[in-house]
Amino acid sequence: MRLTIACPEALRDDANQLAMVLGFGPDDVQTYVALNWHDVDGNLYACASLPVSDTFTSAAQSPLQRPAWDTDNHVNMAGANRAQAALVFSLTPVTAMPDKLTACVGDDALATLAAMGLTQVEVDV
Amino acid sequence: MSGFSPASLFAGGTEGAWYDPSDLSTLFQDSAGTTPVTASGQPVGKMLDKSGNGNHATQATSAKRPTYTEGSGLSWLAFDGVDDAMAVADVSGMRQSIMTFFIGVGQLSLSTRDDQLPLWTRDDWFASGNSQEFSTNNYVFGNSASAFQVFGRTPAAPLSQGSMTANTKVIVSARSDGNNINSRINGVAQTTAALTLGTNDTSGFTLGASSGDGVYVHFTQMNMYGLIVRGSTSSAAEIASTEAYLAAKTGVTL
Repeated sequence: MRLTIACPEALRDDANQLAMVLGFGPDDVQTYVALNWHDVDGNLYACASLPVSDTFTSAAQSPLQRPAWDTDNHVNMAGANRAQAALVFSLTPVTAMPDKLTACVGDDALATLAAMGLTQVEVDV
Repeated sequence: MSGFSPASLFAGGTEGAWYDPSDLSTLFQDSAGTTPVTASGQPVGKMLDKSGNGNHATQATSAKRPTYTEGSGLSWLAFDGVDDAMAVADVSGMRQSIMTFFIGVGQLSLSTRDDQLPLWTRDDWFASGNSQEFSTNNYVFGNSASAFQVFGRTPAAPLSQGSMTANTKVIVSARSDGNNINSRINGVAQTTAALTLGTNDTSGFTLGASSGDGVYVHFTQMNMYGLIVRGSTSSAAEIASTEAYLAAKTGVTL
């Protein structure tokens, strides 16, 4: 299944710590970077979308453990836990909130974000 | 066309890149290239360049990796339009203003805004002013009509463009010879324009997104069946043969 995640600006640093815990290495600290999306109130979000297994969703909602690769304490586990505490997981799209890390299941990532009430930020080129 | 291989486009050390998602030996789930892609639905963190130039495309961040997908006897990379992109750090030796570009793509969504959804971007769009971008652009609200564009930063207007339709697979090619640039869609010539691009020859390129100052923006939701970028202009016969090759990979009848 495909999981699409909306990360509000205020949770971005913590969410990237959680991404490293659930992901594969230190490069996953770049999961939430550009604030390319906004809600109707103008709150900004960095979004990610990826295919995941049931194992991933289970791990995301279970007590976190420092990843095996992180032998030099690169991950801020306190931040990862804060992000997990803010995690809202839904099998259907729900409205993104500026104080929650909202993760929704949906085959079409762009359609899921639209159903979460998010619109792309207009960036001039 | 019989017996044609895109490898011939890179004979004699011609710079460029050739990506073939139907060749599983070139796909890896991680950016280090240690875990091969073996099944549909797996992420692609590294895609080897088959041109012989070593311009392998990578994505180090796991969530940003496109997905290898199979169906109806075809294979493609699915870019989600949210954060998926792959990059080549440096294509030194491939001149920006003399090149040929080919892609087999199913464009799942098209912009309802008057700006670009990039298929492939050269250079740092925001920093240098010398970018060259092959992109889609939608002039009509909704997905009923749109356009493929060859878009140059200087001037900030499309150089060559032609119609595309959302959710329809196409073969797009574009050739610049240093003086003019022209594009073709499914083998049909589109507009031609004088070329006034810069000559930044040292940057890399991005597949599926524009990038600025190291941050990706303007992601494209697309299925990519094959991509060939040649650091040289190409003859009419070479273009036709490459288009036919990609058409077979994409499931498009020219």
